[in-house]
Amino acid sequence: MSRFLLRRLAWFGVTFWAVVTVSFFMMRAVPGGPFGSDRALPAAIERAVRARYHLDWPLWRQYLDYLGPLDLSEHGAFGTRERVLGGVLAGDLGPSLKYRDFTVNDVIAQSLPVSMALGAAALAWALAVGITCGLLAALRPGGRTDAALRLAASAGIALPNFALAGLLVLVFVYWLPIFPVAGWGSWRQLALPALALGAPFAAYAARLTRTGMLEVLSQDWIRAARAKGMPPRTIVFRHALRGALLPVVSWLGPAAAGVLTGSLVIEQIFHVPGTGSHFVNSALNRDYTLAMGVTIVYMVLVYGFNTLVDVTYALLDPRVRLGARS
Amino acid sequence: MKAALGSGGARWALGFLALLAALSLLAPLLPLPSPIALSLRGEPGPPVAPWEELGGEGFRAEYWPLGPLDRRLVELRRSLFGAWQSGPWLGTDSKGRDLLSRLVWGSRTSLAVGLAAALCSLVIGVLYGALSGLAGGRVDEAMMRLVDLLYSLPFVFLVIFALALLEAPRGGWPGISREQVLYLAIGAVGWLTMARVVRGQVLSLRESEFVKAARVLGSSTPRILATHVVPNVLPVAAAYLTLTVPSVILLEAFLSFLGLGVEPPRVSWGLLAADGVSALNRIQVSWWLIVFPSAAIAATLLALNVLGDALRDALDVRGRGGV
Repeated sequence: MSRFLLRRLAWFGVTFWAVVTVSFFMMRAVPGGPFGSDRALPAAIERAVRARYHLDWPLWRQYLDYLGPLDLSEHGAFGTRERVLGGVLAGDLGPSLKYRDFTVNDVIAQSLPVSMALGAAALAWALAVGITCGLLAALRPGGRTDAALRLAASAGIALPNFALAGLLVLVFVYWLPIFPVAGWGSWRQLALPALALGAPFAAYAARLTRTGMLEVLSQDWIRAARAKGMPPRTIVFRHALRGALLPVVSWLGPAAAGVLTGSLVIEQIFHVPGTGSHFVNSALNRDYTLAMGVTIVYMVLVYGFNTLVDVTYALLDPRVRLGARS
Repeated sequence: MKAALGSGGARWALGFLALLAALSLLAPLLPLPSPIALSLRGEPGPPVAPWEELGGEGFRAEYWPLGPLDRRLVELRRSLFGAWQSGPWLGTDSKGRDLLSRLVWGSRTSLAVGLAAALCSLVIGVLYGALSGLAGGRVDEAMMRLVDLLYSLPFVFLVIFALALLEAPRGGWPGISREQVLYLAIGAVGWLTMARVVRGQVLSLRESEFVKAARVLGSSTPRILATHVVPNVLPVAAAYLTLTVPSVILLEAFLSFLGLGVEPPRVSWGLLAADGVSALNRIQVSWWLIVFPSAAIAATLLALNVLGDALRDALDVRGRGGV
């Protein structure tokens, strides 16, 4: 287990470094640079801005400064100017270029809890409903419930979350005024975005549960348990469910990543002040440091979650040995 | 292929997709209003059933710059239908543009993105996976680690980041349009799953008698790849392709919805869905601007998913063996 975790960590280091490096140089390769604006600034002001953000340094120095945990200016290596563009490895993502009074860390610290709450709510209802429906469908395969649920699942997978969000707003805000149109802070404001965000995942979870359950229920040891006279309820909940949920667990990693991605557009539609909407706005506003900071944070989140899921998977399924070579 | 089309659902899906492809290819020829001609009425108009208003004169040939073939088709349309155009059967949007026409023209974007990305992923994914599987050992290990690394990237975020860089004030990278970057980015990452699947196939093919025989007879690796491996891998690749295409179409709609995809005046389904959401207000609930684009996207994705599942089931060795 610890070997597995160590190897994961090493790979994470490589990925992290690659993303930071490539995005840093892409960012700097853009003509006009991050501080280019639509109108030309007087030369003196432009020089001052460039000096403030150390854009007059050679590229490798800027890179080391952005990346490094070491504050090079502190040691006098680059003169006495203070560090402004942050050191990613030290957890400093630098200043936001558009929100002049905030650092990227500030923006993320304010908005990430919102996104996490929305994502958690979406994933929670998706799992609860999806697993229940999958179970119901698997108990009577080919029945009417099964057919209806399969149809619903296909629709749920095919309908993009932004289309569903539009339909939900249409029905539950304008036709039946039950929920507020947008905003953040109350349970009623959470309902529609969470519903729209979670729907495809509920459909997918239902499918996975159904397939997994059918497969487990056809195993010999289940038949043996039935023959022994074990009550069906015990068979399904005590024995079969654990095995049937394994595919769902291993899918949770990609699902969490998908929820984070999906919240980009859901937050935009419902005006939720989360990290996703900041990210999209930063991309539209050319706020490169913010865009890059959010990318880095999300990468760490997804990686961490995937590792967590793998560990859980191994705990649930004794047959899995982490780190074993296939 | 025949087995895959045995199920009724898959047949319906294929029929729908064929109809959609025909509609989108022949869009300039159909007697639709122009997708971008504005009307002076500044509010959305509700749908009018064809039996109430079949259509009328008033066609104006307003388009974004079209290719030579499309210009020909527009001329042909003029000589066929004159100034006659269909009525607002699906309603009009907040600028008075005909929704049906915009949906049909928008389908071109989705299909083009899907096809381009599929082609990219097919070429890169199959070659990469086949090479990796065939090389084996260290090379295989290294090549698959690269795929793993790319897999763990927050891909959508990187694409959005790249598109943002392209919006740079002084023109971004010269000679590249946002649409081209979209195609490239989608294709460049869409091949990952393909590479994994193909590699798995090749690993089992590699141990097969006929590949061993070819190797003993002195065939070079490229030759084995071209004559023995790739033809055997293609059916499986085709099945996975039909599952890649819907995800790519979805991604394009997603990016266009966010305003990072296709640029107006061109249309795409994602853009139409975004228009529908932003047109919602309490005074006039223009439901058609939300319902029809959503239905178009959902039906297309559903058809592609059904077709892909059927193909995969028919080709899956495990499934065919059956117990």
